[in-house]
Amino acid sequence: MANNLEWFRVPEKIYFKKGSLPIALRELKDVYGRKKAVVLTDEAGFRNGTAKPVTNLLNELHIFYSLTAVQQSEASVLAGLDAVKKFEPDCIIAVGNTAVTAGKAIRILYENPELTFAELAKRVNLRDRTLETLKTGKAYFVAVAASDSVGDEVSPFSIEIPADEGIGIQDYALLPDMSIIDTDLIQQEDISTIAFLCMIALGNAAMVFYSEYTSDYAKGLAFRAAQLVLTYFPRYQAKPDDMYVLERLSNAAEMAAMAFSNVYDGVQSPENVDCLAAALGMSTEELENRFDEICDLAEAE
Amino acid sequence: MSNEILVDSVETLEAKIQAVRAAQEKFASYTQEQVDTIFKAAALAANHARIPLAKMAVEETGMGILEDKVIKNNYAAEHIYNAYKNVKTCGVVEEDKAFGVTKVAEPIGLIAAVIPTTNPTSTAIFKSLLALKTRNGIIFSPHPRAKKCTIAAAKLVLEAAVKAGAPEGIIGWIDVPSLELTNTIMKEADIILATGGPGMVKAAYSSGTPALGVGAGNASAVIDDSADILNAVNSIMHSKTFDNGMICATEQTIIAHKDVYDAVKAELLKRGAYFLNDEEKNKIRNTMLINGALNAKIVGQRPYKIAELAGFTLPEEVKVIVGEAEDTSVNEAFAHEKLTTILGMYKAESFEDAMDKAEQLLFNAGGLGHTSSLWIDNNSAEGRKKLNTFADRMKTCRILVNTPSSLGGIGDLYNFKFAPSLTLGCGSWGGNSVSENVGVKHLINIKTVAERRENMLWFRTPQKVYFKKGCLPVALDELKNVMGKKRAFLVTDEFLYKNGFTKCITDKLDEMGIAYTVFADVQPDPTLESAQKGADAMRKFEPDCIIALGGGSAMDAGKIMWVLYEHPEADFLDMAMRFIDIRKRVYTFPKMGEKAYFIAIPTSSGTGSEVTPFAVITDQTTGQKYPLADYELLPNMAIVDTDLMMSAPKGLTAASGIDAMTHALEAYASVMATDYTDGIAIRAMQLIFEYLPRAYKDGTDVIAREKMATASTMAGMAFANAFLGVCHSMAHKLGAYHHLPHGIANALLITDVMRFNAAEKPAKMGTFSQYQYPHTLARYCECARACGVTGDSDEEVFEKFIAKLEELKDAIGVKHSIQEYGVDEKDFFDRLDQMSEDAFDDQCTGANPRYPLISEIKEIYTRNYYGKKD
Repeated sequence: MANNLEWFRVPEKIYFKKGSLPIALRELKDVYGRKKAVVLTDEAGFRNGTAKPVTNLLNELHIFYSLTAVQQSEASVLAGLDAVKKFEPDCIIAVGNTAVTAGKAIRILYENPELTFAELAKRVNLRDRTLETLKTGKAYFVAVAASDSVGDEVSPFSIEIPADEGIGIQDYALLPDMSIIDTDLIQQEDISTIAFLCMIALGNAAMVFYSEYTSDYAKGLAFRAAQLVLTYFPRYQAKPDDMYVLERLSNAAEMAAMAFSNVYDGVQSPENVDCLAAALGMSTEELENRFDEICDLAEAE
Repeated sequence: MSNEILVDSVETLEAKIQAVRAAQEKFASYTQEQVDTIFKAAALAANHARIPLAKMAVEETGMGILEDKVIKNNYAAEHIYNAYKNVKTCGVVEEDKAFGVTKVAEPIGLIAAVIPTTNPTSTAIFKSLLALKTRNGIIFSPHPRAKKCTIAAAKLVLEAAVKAGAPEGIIGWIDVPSLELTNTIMKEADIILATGGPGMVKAAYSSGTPALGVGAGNASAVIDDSADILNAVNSIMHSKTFDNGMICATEQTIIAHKDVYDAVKAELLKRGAYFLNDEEKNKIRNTMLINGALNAKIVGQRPYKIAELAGFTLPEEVKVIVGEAEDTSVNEAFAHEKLTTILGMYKAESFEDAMDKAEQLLFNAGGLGHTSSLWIDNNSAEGRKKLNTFADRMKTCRILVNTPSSLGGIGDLYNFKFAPSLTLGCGSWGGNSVSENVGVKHLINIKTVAERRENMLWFRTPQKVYFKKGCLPVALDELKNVMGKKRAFLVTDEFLYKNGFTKCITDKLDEMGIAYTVFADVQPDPTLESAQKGADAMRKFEPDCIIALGGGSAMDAGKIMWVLYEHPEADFLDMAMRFIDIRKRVYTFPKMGEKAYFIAIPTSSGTGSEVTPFAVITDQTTGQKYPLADYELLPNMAIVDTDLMMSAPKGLTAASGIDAMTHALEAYASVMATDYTDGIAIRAMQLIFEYLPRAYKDGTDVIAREKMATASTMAGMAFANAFLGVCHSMAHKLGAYHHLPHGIANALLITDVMRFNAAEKPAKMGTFSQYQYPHTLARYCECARACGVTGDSDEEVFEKFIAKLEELKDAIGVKHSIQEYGVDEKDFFDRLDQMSEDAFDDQCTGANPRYPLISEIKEIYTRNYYGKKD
């Protein structure tokens, strides 16, 4: 069914830049007239106030909110869903990777009461588009990138189901309505965090060039993303407090995720960096070395 | 030491000023912590001395009531301290890290404080505390009748402050006040806090020094028929008798609604008021005003004393004298400010009449800008309405509802969000520069530190972009299976319709059982008239989805019809107005998609209109083109099916292909380019270089056609977000004036514009925060290298890139000059000036990395009229 049709699908609004959060989030009031929000973060963020930039702004906008902690598990998604059902928000704001991935599932379940978790988690291939008829629109979904984000703000992927095939919940209906990438929310001092971000970005880019379902749209974004990582990661290593460099790296992660979201063919790990290396004009070995360097730093915690 | 200078002459005053300034210079560098210690110590000391100072004040001035003056002193110390103890007044007082704005407070310098005879010690305490909290120096100019107690208060506060660490002599005073000395200090100070009568306030404003003045008050207490009479009358009595009516905010008259007039009078009488008879009224009138001015002898006196002065007797226990009046003009003494225990009283026929009278009193007898008072049931809906009307009408800066006017007006006693103060601003009505209760914020300079930030940017594209050869019917499936659409409106041009291009769509719609109608009247350069016709047809058909099929004209026409259909009230001139920042534009585009889902299907590669928020419409009567730009115009879905591109003739292939190339190039050079648009633009350029010549040579080459279709849409996505530049501005006008196809117009100008943009020393740079310095040369080289151009330097790579573009143009048959396209020389140059100006004014110009001068645009046009001499 996917054969005669290819696509390019990303969130309707992707906002970015240092300091963009207060400007973008203002649209909740000025453009969408929202009044009640559920704000999701992970457990650590809940304790440490990661979502403060968001909640402070909601106060200013007189948007009533409830802060909830979630994890990447079925139980947590269902618990989050319960909290959302009780609160009846007209928008959901997820801050950070964990919250964004869990939040996508919560949002879809909230807007489609007849849908069960089991149905949502059924092993469907993203390219089969069977869940297309899922409703969205009741609760405006905003995905906000934070320190642990690697691009799920712009992807149709939700939580990984801890099981065999390694395919998580995925559907284009899960795309957030708005994604906000504000580098002020990303802690840059922690090199392993940034290395992880770059690792994922490069990996996604490699998969895009390797995949049989790839398109020029995806390649354009992935190529640029890879270039950005290779150019700016060393600069970040040299000067970790350079916000300009951090911005380029976080853009790279988002772009690679956008690309990957449109070619995804079920393969999880970058089997082969050949194609990407060729496109970049590097030898496979060279690219693999750079990649390994970054992976090592990502793991070192 | 400076304390020992006795200030009784201009020379000694000058010396004092110097000394206080020297102390203030030291004070200016104190920390918040040091200042707050001093502030607290001073407040404590003043509070401890509240009774002795009150005694001194009554004794020296012969006015007021000791026990009430005690409250004033206590209030001045306690409430001022409480209000400002946690307020930041030193150093960084506000910080917004996200926006990069920091506010830093600094003192003003030297304050000249003029103290009245009515509240000498309390005002002195108040002003010195404010000065101490804000690191200012202060010199008092006491009233001659109250100089001893004023100086005593100032001295006391000074001693406590110095003991707590303040610099010696930070507070000063004039020992022997005179008009000359008052004028001198007002002139020499950095700011004046002037509390006093209108004459003194005027002198302050005329001194040339910024002044925070006060005015005379003339508050009327309007008593509505819904008012709580018990509360009202007793509050008014309490307020009026406080310190014998010497607070400027106090009630001067009562205006009672006729239905409650008698009840009010009865309660007044019950609580100790005396209503004057006609003879007594006249005696009082003659005593109150001497030559139209308030008689100082009656200020702050009890009724029995006033009666004595007027020539009749009253028992001592009478609390307030009431003179009933009717005339609200300046001729009626009871209409004026009295500053003593006398009230005028008026009867109002209605609430409207009460407001009229209150206004008249303010306008005729003074007090504009000061205070108004209203007694009303503010819980009922009707009461709230009246209250809002009252607040709307009264030209006063304090409008007190159900509170005593004197004790209520000074703040924080009967309402706790009302700043406590003994200097009450009266706004422009009172000739003041402040309209609120004066506090610390008026005595500091705020420096704003603004750090560079970049505008938020975005990536926006239709929710669904479908592509592939043969994808059209599959994509259209969604109309039924996902969206449940029932009625589709097709917009296309005559040629496409006649040649069966709509068949694949209409067949599919038939299959899905979706009703449809076709509007095939679109011309190249779609007109407003044709769009209106289309919108009319839409209104009749009421589609729930619109399908625009064709080149830029059809898609643009479709978008305009969509707007007219969903928002017939929209104004084109407003929509088409130039903006600098699309997010800050004056016009708010109406929300689209409420009636119909919009699908754009391109048949050329192309304008990219299927993924852009732009539409260009021509007003056929004037020939004027309106470029509309707003993300509301972004189609909901774009379907890019190669099958529809296969039969494009060579000329169209060339023109639209090179148009796509300029889109990518201009999006890349744009000041609004981002990583997201860059990635897409570069890919588009690579594809165009490789596949456009192929598609031109052999239109049946499916791969080439498909790649061109992709490249065109991708270039569209890039410029939909990064916008374009001056090449398009110029191409628009070249097309409008001389009817060159859009793509060709771009092709003729692009390489020259690229040279123009790449200048390392441009005459003017584009204005956009993220575009930090001219670096378009380097940017073009990034494109060049990505397209396989190599070289040793940027200059070399750039030249080779230009050559590569020229090669591409040759390969697709683009001529070498405007002239070669048959544009008449005389006509071209006759209208060149206007065309250049119009190009400059095009919306696309704003994103160009080099801001063009009109003369520079003219030069580029001229050069390319004749073409290269190679």
